[in-house]
Amino acid sequence: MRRTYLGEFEEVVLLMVAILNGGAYGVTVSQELEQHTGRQVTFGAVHNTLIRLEEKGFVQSELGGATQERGGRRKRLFTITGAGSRALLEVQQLRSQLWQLVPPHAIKLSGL
Amino acid sequence: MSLHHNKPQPPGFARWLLSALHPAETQEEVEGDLAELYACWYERNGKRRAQLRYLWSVLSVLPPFVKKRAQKNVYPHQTLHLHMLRNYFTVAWRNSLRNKGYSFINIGGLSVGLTVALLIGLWVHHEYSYDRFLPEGERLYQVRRNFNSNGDTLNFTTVSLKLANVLREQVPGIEYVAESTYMGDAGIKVGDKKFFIRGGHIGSDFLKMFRYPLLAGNAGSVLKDTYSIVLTESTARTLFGTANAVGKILRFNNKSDLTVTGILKDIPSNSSLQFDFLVPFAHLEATNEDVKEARTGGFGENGFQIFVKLKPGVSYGQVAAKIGPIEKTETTNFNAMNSVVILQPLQNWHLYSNYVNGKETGGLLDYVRMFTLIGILVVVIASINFVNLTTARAAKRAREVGIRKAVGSRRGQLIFQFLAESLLLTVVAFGLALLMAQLLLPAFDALVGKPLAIPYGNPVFWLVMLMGVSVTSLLAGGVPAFYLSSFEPVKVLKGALRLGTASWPRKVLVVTQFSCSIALIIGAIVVYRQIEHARNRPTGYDLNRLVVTNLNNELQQNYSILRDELLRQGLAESVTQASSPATEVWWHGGLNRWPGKLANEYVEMGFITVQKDYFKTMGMTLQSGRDFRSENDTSSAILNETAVKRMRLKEPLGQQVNWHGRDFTIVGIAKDALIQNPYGTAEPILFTCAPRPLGVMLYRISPGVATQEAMTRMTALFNQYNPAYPYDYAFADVRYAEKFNLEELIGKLAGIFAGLAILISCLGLFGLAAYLAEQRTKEIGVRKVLGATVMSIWSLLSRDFVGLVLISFAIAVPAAWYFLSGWLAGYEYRTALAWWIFAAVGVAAVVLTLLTVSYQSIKVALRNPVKSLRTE
Repeated sequence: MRRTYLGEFEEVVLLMVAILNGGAYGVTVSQELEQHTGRQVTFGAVHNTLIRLEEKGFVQSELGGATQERGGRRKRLFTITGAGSRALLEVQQLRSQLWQLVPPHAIKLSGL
Repeated sequence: MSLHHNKPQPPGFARWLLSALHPAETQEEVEGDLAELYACWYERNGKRRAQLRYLWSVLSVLPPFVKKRAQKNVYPHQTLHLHMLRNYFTVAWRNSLRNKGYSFINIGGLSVGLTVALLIGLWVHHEYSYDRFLPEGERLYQVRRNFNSNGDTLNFTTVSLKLANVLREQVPGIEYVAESTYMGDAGIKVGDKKFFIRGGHIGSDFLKMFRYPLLAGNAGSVLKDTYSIVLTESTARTLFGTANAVGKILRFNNKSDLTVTGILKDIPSNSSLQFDFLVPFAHLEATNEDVKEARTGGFGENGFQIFVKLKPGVSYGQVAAKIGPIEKTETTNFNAMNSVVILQPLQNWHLYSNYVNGKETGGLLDYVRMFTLIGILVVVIASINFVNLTTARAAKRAREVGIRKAVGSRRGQLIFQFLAESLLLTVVAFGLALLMAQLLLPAFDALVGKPLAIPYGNPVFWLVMLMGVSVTSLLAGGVPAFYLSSFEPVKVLKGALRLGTASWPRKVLVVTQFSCSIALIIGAIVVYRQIEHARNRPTGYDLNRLVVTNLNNELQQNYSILRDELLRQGLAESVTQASSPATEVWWHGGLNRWPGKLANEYVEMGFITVQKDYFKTMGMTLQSGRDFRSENDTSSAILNETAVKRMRLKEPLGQQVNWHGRDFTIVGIAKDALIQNPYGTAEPILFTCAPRPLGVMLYRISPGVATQEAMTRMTALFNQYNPAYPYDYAFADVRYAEKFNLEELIGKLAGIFAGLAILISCLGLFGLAAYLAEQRTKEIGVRKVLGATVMSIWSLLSRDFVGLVLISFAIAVPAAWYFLSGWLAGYEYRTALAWWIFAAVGVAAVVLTLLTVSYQSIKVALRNPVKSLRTE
């Protein structure tokens, strides 16, 4: 299967872009990540991941939305592409298929 | 910390680090993001934590950790940008408009070249398409004979009915056999309407083999009944007024009534067999005693043709060994014993008619190939104009190229620009060519005698045209594109570029152009001279006012009354009967015996049975001896001079020869006459005499009677004695002229195309001369100031071109000599390749060049140097 590999962090960032629905840029993605996953993320990691996702064709970007608090600098706003949506759905399907295969009681929530 | 700042600032060092080291492509957005985040952290976690986190974040987006955005996403570089494309075409269009003369030469020359190529292409395609429409055509063959005559192998299509029987019964690989007569005219009567219609008698399996589409009737059964006839659609319409004629009855050759059993779609023009009716061969056997006898006769009784269809999966190679020696079994007939039977596949019928040593070697194919070559040459010549004019005008475009490069064009873009320009011009030229071809098509159709049409509806045609346009525009635009795009901008813009230094490729192209044109002209002249040479050859008899009429039953019965009437009314000065018309010999064979004949010697000769006054009517003269005394002089024979020579007879008069088991005494020698082939030597002929009806009536209109009046009166006379048929006649001189049809067509086409080739070449030369003269304006001004005369300037400017044409001439002469002597070798009676033809063409080419070039050079030479030097 010729599919671009989607790493775990990439997947989460891509999901964030989808959740933010047009409002995704460096700041919002970092903040939402921190808020929803609870982990502290390095800004560089988010920045690099967004560039990589764009190279893979999962997101596209454009410049715009300069504000006073940014010193008049423009944002790079990201939106998910068709390929990105498909990649996310495939990951989700794969996961749910794999879940189906897990035998009952194999995963013990109250184990030792 | 200063409280009056409503906005906290990140540490200056970290900001400096970011602006200095972060990749430029993403600097703006990252600075903005981090500023926003800093403000947020500051509010949430306090200044210190915020500063630390800011610094940490800045480090994370510095090299080597940060990922760079790919360059191309930031600045998209497209070679094929729409705006640029529009600019290219705009510039091309403006350039064409500004230099109307050059554009005219470019487009005009190219479109004339393409028109020629298009017309030739249509003709060549038509010639190649012959018989290809027949399904299962690859299994169809015509039977031929390689006859060995004293070491020479002659090839014939005439074969015997016995061969048809043997092929049908004894060769397992053959599925069907159809014997056939040669297609000819038959008299057909419907009610009181009388017609002569072309067709023949053919074996009943014919339509199962050659699946010409039937509109009515079944291919397997329409020729089953002896008294049936199959008509083509338009013939049925002519005869009965409707295509739905099945079941109707017509009178055939005034001998039998035939029922129409099938209607064929009209036979396409690209079918080798052309006929309007088919009658079962059985009908011929039922009505003609000779044919009935031939069926049971030997292999030597040749007079028919045979077509065969092989079984599926059987190749000719598999049956060749079985078929070849069939006739060798004959023991008494010399002709059959020396014949090898071969098959010619359907797809070669049209293009291969020449057999040398028993192998097909070509025929029409040679001419088709020749014209394909001419078509390609004409397009090449036209493309060379384009290349030469564009590169010569390079200086004008050099500045544009320099500026484009300085502004940032890459070489690929410039190449693309110039190719697009040539594509634009080629497309325009192609459009014009299509238009011209369409307008010229009726004239061209009349010239080649074929109903050619441009197949607008055929996608393959457009595909071929598309390919032609692409190839031509690459051919014409490729060299200029690479040449022009190679200029170095600094040199060009400084004006340091020396043009003209690389002029030798241009010279090579001019030489190529003129070599082709000169060779074509020489070729056309030689072809014309060969035709004239053969046409003006003394024929040995008189074709003027000589008329030929084929005799049917009624005319044969009324022959003597008709002859006497023609003579009595003063319409004809002489009337006779013969077994062959004036311009053909229908019967060939060999003599069984003559004095001095070697064992196994065979002389292939023509036999013509005649009646009294034959030589007088034909206008032939006797060299010695006497004419036939009367129709009953049946034991006498007259030989022609060639026959005497071939048979090595010393004292021919009074000698005995034996033909078909009968002895004849030679009573006279006739002077040679070119009855059959105007290009060959006269063939040996034996004339005999018989009182029975002979098939063809020959009569010469009296010199005192105007032809028009004679024809009117003779029509009345013939209608009186032959009421069942229209008066059918042919003038011998017209028939003789038809023998030159192919050569005449080739001559005309070669002449037209050669003329166009030289016209296109001269157009190119004219443009080139104009440009080069313009380029040297200043030089000429200086020369004139220093005392040069108009004459010396004219010769300075013309010298180069004359030199080039002389070189072309030197190349063209041996090439033309080689090909033309090869072509002429195919004719026994041929014109000499006189040196003066070559010299005349050479002189004409130089004169033409001087005329073309002089207009420009004299114009420049006459210009006032004050004006030309002031141009800067």
